[in-house]
Amino acid sequence: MNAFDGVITILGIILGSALLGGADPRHIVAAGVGALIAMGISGASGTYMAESAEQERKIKELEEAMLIKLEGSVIVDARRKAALISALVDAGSAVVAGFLVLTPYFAAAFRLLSEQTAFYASLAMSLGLLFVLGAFLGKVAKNNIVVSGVKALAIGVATLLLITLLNLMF
Amino acid sequence: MLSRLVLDILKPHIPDLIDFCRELSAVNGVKRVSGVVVEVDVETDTVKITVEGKGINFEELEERVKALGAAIHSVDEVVFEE
Repeated sequence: MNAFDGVITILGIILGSALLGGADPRHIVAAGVGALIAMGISGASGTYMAESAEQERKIKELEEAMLIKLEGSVIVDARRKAALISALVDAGSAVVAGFLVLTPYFAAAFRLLSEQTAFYASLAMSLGLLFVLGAFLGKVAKNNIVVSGVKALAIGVATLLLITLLNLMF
Repeated sequence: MLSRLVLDILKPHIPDLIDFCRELSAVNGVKRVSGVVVEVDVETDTVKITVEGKGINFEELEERVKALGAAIHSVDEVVFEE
């Protein structure tokens, strides 16, 4: 689900800079990569701390029920690894999704695309990715895939509108 | 030689009885493991495990049970044979 964070953050950066009258694609890449690195670190550490606490609590509950120490057992091992894996997946998905949406700007930074094309490509990719993520969630929940996709897309559109609105006000 | 054991074991729900018995079947000297659930609690299961084989390594079996997060509550039946 953290892929959402990555996409929406990059969407905010490209839209904000476009509304300011455009920025050098290299600046957008720098800002985007910086934001993604920060998001990766905060996502990984935040999730790890929260998950560890939750897993340790479950281990203690089980120890109380079993009336024995579980240190060294496969259960403790699996629970600790689970915390680490969810942290890595959480951080990784945000960074990968963000980088994906940022790729047109990488191309623009190397003058392979015009800034305008990069903006539209990036915008289309972020909205497309939001729809796909929503549809995927719909599939997991066994709901209507299209409705779920459109809901996720609506979050992206709401972000676009809010940023545009704020830009018009100030 | 130790050839049959019936153990009363308290174990967490996970690993389940299938994985639990499969792990115990890998112990030295064990040829057959069968398990029956006696009681299901909120966090734990009480199971009766019957281990059969030739020269069962009880220390190793005990270690394996502990590593799976479970505890042997009692040894209810023992058979030694030559």
